[in-house]
Amino acid sequence: MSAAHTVRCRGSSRRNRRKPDYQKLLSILLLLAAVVLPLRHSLAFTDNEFLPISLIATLGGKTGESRLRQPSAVLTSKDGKVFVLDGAVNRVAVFSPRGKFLYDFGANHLNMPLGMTMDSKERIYIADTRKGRIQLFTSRGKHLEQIDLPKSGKGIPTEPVDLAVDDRRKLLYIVDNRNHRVLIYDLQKKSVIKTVGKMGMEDGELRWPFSLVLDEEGVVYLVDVINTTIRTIHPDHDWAFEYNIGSWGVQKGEFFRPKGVAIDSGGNLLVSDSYLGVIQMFDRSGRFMAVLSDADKKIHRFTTPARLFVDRENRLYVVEMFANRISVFRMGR
Amino acid sequence: MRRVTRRFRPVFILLLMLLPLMATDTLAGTEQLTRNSSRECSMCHIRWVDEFKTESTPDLLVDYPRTRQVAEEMMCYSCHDGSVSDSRWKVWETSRHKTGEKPSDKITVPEGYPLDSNGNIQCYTCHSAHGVEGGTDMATAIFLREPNINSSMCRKCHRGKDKGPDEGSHPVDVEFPDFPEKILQAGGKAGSNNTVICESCHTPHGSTAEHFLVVPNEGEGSLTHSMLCETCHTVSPDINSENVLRRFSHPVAVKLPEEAELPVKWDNGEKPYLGKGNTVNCRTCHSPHNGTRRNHLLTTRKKGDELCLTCHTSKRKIYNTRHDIARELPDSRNADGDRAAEKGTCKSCHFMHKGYGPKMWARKGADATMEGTCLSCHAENGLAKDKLTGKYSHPVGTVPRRIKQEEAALPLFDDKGKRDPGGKISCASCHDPHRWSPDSDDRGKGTRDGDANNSFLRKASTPDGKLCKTCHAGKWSILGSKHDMGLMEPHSKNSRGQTIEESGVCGACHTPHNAEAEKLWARSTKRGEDTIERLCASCHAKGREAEGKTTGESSHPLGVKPGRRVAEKSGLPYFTGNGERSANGNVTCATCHDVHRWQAGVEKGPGKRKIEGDRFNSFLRKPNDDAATLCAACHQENALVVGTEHDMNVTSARTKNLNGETVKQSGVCGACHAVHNAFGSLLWVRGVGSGENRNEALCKGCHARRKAGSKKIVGDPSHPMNKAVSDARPTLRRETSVFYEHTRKDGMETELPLFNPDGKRSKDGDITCPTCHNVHHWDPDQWEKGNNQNIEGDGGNSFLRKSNLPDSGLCATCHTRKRYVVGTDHDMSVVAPQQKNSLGQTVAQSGVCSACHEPHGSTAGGYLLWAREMGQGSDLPQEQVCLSCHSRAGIADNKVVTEFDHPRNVTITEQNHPGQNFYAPVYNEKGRKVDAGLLSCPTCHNPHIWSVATKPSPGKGKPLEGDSRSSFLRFRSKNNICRNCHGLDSLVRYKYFHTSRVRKARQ
Repeated sequence: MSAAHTVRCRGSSRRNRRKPDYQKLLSILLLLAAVVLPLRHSLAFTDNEFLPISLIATLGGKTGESRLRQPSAVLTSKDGKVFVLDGAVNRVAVFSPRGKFLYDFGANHLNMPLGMTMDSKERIYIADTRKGRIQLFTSRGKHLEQIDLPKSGKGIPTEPVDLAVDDRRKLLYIVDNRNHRVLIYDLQKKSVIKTVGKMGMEDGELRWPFSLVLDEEGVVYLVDVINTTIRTIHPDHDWAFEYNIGSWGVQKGEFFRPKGVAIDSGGNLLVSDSYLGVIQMFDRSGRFMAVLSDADKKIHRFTTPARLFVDRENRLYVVEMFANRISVFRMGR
Repeated sequence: MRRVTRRFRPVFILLLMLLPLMATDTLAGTEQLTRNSSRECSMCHIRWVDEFKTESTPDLLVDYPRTRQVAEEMMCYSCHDGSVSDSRWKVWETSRHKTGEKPSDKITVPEGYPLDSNGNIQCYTCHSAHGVEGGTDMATAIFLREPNINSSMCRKCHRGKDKGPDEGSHPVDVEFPDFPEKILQAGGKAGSNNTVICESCHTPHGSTAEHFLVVPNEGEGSLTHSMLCETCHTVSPDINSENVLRRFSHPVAVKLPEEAELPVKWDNGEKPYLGKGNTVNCRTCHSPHNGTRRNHLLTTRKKGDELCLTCHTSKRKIYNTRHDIARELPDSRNADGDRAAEKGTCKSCHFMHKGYGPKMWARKGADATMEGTCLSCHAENGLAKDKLTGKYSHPVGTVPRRIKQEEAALPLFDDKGKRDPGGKISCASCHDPHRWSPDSDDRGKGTRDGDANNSFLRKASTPDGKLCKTCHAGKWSILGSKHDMGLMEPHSKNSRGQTIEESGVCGACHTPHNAEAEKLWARSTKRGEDTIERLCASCHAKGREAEGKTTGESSHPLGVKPGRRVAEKSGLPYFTGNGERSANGNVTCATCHDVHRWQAGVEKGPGKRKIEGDRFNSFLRKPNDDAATLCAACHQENALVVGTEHDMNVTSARTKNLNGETVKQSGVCGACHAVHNAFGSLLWVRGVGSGENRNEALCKGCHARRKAGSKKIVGDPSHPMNKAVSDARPTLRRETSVFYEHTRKDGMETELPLFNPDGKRSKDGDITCPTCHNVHHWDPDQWEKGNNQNIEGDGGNSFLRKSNLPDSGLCATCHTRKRYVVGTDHDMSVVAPQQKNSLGQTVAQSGVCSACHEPHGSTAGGYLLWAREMGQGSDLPQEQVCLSCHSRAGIADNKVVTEFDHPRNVTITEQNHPGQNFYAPVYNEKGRKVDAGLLSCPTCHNPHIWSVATKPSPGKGKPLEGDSRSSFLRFRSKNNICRNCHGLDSLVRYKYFHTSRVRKARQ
């Protein structure tokens, strides 16, 4: 009320001096409306912005060894075995392609791990979160090596939550959630050669990064959870932060709690939002492409979708943490 | 224009108002990550997201949230899944404070603690992401609705739970200086100044137990301990630690006794709580938040003995017994100084907690063992100093290894006084201190001393020894035997003056306490070193009950230690001097006799029939049957006599020993030996013959005319007997040195035994019959009994200690150099195997030596015990034995001396003594070697050694033609045997005496 009153007062004083050019003002407003309204209308979903998916399989039983307890990562090997990081009970559970439990490993080496990846030799790297170290296993579960990680400059222990291997550059990217950074570990020198990121919201800063994925060129796509975006880091540009994908919000192309990221066979990014329970697709420039939906073009609602993984057959593995399961989907019609 | 302007004024205003909104939406997809307070709040307050401010916002990814409070579970999980904070285990994998449920009637939710729209508890009821006023401590304030100092938040809802025992709740806010580390490690918290608070036992997140307890109160695995309670109220008894809070408390994790009579509900309204498998734990009696007021958090208002008797109903029988301390000794005080009359019967001896020993013992002076509690009164300075156990008492504190009692029939105890089926014997194994008489309601009123029927025994010992035989079941076979005092001496009394009726059958000889001697002996004993012998002699002695059954002067030795191998194989017990069984022990009466069993394998004695025992019973551990089982247990080789010619069953079943027993009555061994009351050494019980040596005399007791062995009499002459080897001629002595000397030096027995005149073995003894014969073993090469046939023996058996077949091993043991005859031309098996000696035996039957020598009763005049007919052509016996073969009619007719003209009566040089080089024996006319005598065949020939050209060795086993280096010649003489005696003069003598002229003249 007071603002309106203030405007009115000002108007009356100007009227005394010079009459306003309402026609000109109206034309400007109409021009602005002509530009903005179509933009506003474009925030609604079009038919092409629904990517239907169909459930193929579910991993994780109700009882016994196949029962999962808040799994946090999933990947597959060349022979189709599915490796699930069952971190709350400190193990990796291995399933057949058809979802039959095969074996598990890691019980004596893990302490509440959160992240897992596999290199081209099918060696499995696990972010042993509570102990601040990386554990290396064969796909049969034989323990190979333990990589201890340095503390931050402030003496805070590293808390690795996810990792990815760049086989071409012999690098291991480690997400240090607690210190809001990414460690770049040289697998040949066996040492951390660079850290990127610090606490903050500006470029080059992170707030609780959680997941990452590499594309075929080695570009890093990093989920910055509380900054609600996907950071891109280019290895050939001295790991500088380049552009962001997605932003805060609850509309398409926006995130509330982004958690997992994966790249499908078409080179597009899939990003999960654990609170909203949705997975969205972006091209690598950051343009929103679609939201995963049911066949009837209704948004598919996942239960706390976290980490994602796309296998060679372009099947999508979704870690539904709170539901204690891994859901496997076929994407597209 | 003005009109137009006026006309479009509302549109203008509308557009002006929409502009900011449209601009905001347009820029949303490309906004920079700048700090934005509305966004920061909306991170949790999703309702505040701009899109929800207008209904026109199209196609959002999520619907408008229904709940105003944001701290609902999924919102919390969206960060606490590890992406910001990892609460996976603590919140979502463990037991936690209830959510999604309505609070119960007992809960008062204060203002400022929001429930959801359904009135249910949610995360946000207690949690808020906002800081609280005055709260900066991470441990108490962050993300809570208010600082939770000393569990203050808990108490806001759970009101009244902190009012302490007076209101039936576990105390809180009490200081606990030694706050248990286990609680802290499990996630429990200590309040200010180490006080107990709600969170000391409960944690809203991260518990793995029910009721959000930090430590499970159900126990681990099969245990049902109240583990949480015991963390502070320790259960482990530690007698050495005075500071342990609750030593020797009422046991937990034990089954509720069957006799318990629990109410349907306790006084506090709760059902009686039992752990897994109906076990008692702390919660059975106590309720930490619902206890009865001012009564130790007990679930019942009962006090004194009544609570105890709710479960231990049978213990009521202690009242009015001598263990009813409150009545018997009302002024006595327990360890806390309380008068028995005031505390009541139970608490005079037991504390529920803080006991001083096992069984929550309430009296001082007890150690940690069960028996220690008893001794706190039954000691010299104790309340029951007139009831002590004495020096000899039933063992306690030992594991009953050999005794197998019926399953759980009597309790055993561990070192902490707890019942343990694999535990040790204790006082309470036999005694139930709460019940005077096991079979009646007798409380012992007016009686000072009990007997075997009461005395707080768990079982009465009369009339059938029920108590003792629970463990010592094997001893109960005494019943009906001659050791059953109730049968044999019903009016006798034991050392405590008790009759059989009072003491029971066992008590006649044994008393569990204050015994006279070892084995809890209850009868007066005699003096002696060996305990068992002493105990037996307390009856089996002159003037005692069993004076008709004594052992006599010649009896089986006692106190001797059997060989290790014998002890291991015999299956009989051996005993130390103290009467304890030991594999290294000695032979004693109880080695052969089981005083509790009349006959082996029979459960009962024969009863009142006054029979005389025989070799099958008489308390023998094994029958002395026709296989000599009992004796064979130790004397295994001697038992091989069974079935041989020395088994009277075979050769002389009708003859009787000196006890007038035939072999059928006495058994095989008993025919010659009496274990008790024998006649002289070797427990001999047959007649003896003549002889300088006891052994010879024993042999001749049978091997004499008109005796059982009359067909096997030793003739004359025979092998020398009753002579020491050292008495033999020097040549023989030297020969036997191998047999004799080294064993003497090493202190060992000789290979063949020698005997003193009194018949005992001695390495310095004489040769006598058993030197060569083992009277119990027919065939030394076969470890077997005889075949029950009376057969004629040969050189391979005949009770010889070593077989003489085929190589005369027995003879060669002493006559070591004679063994080289084997395989030579003087071995009959080589040159004349079918020829027989004077006994009609071929060499295959007699052996090599006996083909020519007969050890007993030589038929050829006795010279050299010659076993062949003496030869003709000489009057000298040393030549006659040669001529018996080397003559025209002899078997060596191709080796006959045709010209024999060496002068006979020759005096050899003074150096011609045995042992000297080139000793050539000369003989007198009787064939005895002398220093100066006649030259004869054996002067040059040693008939047992073919050749001394090399080291003596047996022959080749085939006839050979000899030469000057062999041919049984005594000396090595390469060119001329004459040179050995005649030296350089020999050639001259040879040429002279062997000319035809001289030869003819001498003939």
